Amino acid sequence: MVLPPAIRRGYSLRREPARAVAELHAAIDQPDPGLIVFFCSSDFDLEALAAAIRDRFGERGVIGCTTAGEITPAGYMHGSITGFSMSAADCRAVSELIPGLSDFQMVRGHEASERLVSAFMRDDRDLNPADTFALLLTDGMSTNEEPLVAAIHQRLQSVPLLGGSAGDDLRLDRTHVYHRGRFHPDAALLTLVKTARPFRIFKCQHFVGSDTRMVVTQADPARRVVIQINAEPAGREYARIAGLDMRQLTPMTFAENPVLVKVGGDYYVRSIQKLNDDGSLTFFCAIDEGVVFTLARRRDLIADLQGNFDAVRRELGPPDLVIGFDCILRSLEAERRQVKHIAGRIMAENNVIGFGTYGEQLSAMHVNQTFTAIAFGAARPG
Amino acid sequence: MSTLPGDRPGSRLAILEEENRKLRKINQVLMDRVERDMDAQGGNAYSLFQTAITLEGKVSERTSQLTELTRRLMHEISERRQAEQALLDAKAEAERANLGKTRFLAAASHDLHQPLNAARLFLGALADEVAGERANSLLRRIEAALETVDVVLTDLLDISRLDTGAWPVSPSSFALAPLIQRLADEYSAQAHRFGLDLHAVPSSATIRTDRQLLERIVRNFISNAIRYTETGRILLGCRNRGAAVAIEVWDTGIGIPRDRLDRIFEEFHQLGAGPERPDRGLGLGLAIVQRIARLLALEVEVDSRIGHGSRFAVLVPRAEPCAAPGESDPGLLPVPSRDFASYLVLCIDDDPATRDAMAELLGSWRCELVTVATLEEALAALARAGRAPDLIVADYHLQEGALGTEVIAALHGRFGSAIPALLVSSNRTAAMRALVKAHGLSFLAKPIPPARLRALMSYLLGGDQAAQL
Repeated sequence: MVLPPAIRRGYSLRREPARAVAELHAAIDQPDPGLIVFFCSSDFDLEALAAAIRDRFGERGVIGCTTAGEITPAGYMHGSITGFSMSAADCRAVSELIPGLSDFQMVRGHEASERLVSAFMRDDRDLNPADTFALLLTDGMSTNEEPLVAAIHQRLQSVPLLGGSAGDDLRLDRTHVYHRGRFHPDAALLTLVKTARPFRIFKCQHFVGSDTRMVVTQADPARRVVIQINAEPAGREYARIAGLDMRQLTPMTFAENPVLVKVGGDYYVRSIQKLNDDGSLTFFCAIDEGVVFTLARRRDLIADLQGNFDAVRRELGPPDLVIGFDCILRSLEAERRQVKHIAGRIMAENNVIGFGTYGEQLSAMHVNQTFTAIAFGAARPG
Repeated sequence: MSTLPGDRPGSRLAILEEENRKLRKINQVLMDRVERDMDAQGGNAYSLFQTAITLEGKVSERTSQLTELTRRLMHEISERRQAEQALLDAKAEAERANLGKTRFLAAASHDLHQPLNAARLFLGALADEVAGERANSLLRRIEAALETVDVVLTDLLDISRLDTGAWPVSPSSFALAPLIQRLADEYSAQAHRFGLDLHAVPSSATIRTDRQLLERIVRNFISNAIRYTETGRILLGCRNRGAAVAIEVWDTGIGIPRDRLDRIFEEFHQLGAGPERPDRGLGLGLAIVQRIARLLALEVEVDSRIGHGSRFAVLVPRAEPCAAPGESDPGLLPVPSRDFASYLVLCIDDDPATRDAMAELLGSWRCELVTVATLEEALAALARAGRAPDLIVADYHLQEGALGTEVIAALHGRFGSAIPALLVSSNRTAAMRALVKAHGLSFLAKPIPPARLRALMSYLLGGDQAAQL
């Protein structure tokens, strides 16, 4: 029997791994899946969760990662597991794990990408950027996303890529990706997906540049630590310029007051992860000495999000599924401004399954404080 | 004057110096940064991020170029599709026309075969009536002329069927030696009549192709060689050529001018020169050869020297020699002399001329005869005669879609299936032969050669004759 193309989405708020997976399985199981993806809170007992997933879904064809919050069919959740399945008629996927990310060398990224491409081609699939995209789930703590996506991009070239850095509910300790029945720390998971559906990749960023600029005068780029700004201790100088009290330097404040870098005519957010005891600032993405930061001006997050989804709907019609990588700092901001429920409703209306990230990957870039997503239109007739 | 702390010269100096230090530091890192960016060697994460964005810019530029290119290509493709569709339409139209031509030729051939059949039957009857050397000589020449017409009609029909690809091909593996031997035996006598020596070189090769169609090609080669050779000899041989065997026919005939080597494969192309032979045909032989060779994907070769002779060859793929059965030669039925008096022959044919001709011929053999057009008429006539027929001769295609096989089955049901039955038709396709075989019937192709009919009747009517065959 030929089954109609199908996408199933689901989630569970159960805390007990077996029951949570059972609920998710009941919601997204289908006879001939081409791809199953889940995002789970790092609060789960991951050993038990992996066992439950193996038990319900089998060893293969399931990928996922830990989160800093989940985007479920019911909107934003915390401590849940959410996911989706696409039928084999909708898509075919192959994955490759890249372990040992903290001492990543670009040559390993090349090799992994090449293995993935040849596995993809082996199944008689041609690598056509028009119907194929790369999905990256990567460790959010190994500070190596930039060389990772650069290496992948050098091999995948025009194949569109998007992804997110896994989270651990802001503990900033250890994140995991799930591949072939196991959770892996310090690893990236690259998946090539060929789909019969029309799709569109897009990015929402609601920050624009201001006139206030500062210069990174001392940094440790390998650790993404800015030690001095304007030849002053970084934390203090940042607080002074942003008009904040040192005691206010919490993730919530960082979320609302990011700095930007201007490259190639556009502004990109450099999100601050934390203030360190020595007064330096750790970032979620690459920084360097001599980089000029611009203080960001914030626009309305909800209006920006809604506007982007409207544009997607004009192009694709109502999406059957959106895989969304939503920077944790965005939901923190929405929470503080008491609009998170509205953002969650927009996500649910647009069938988003996603998670709160420690960074988003788009093409060869690792960026911050964006909502980076891929939307799938209705299956083409025939 | 106020005495703010900052106003103290030492304090202000300290502040300015501190400010100066910071600016120098800022200036220093910015210069370093600019240098690193200019250097473009920086491989750290931030440089990669910058590169990625610049890359994005280049990619979108390239993308818009590619989009334009794609748009142009799509436009060209759609134009090409239209042209292709027009060509396909034209091809379909041509194929329809070709099919129409084939159907017309098939119908014309069938309609021409009917009176031809009748004429030859009448001629057979006439031969039994007349005496005298001169009359018999004339009869033989009329018979030969009609035979030629028959051959040409058959060839034309074959060509049109080969052209439309409607010819069934059934390849098999078989030993070449028996085929060569049989053809040599068969044509030796004819060659001798014209004073030629036909010699065959035996071959141990096993080949794979459609046996009957291949035989048709080789027969054409041999009969051409006999036609165009005044004196000398004809050699039928085989030669290994890589994975193939070349079946070759050499003659010492008039030869073919170099500029006409290609044209001899065209329809109705004959070489003007050559000895006068009664069976020159109309030059369809090589046209058929070429079409069969194309159908079987075989290569045909010809080379020739004026005044010395020609070589025609067909290259056939070799097969594993095992499991290749030798051919069984059906041979020809001898013609016993026999009186068919008192036998009741039921002849069913919807063509009045054929019925009349059969009546004449069978009457001259002193058969009792019932000639009818339909099964109903047959049953009525047999009821009047008060007896069952000894032999049924039925045409395959009867009036109103009735089939000879059905009529024979009905008669067998009525009078018992032991009555021998003979199906006749101008349809001589393999499918027809298969059908006849499936029904366990005997078959003669129209126009019916009287000698064959007589031989077959002897066989069918007298069990005692079987031993002779």
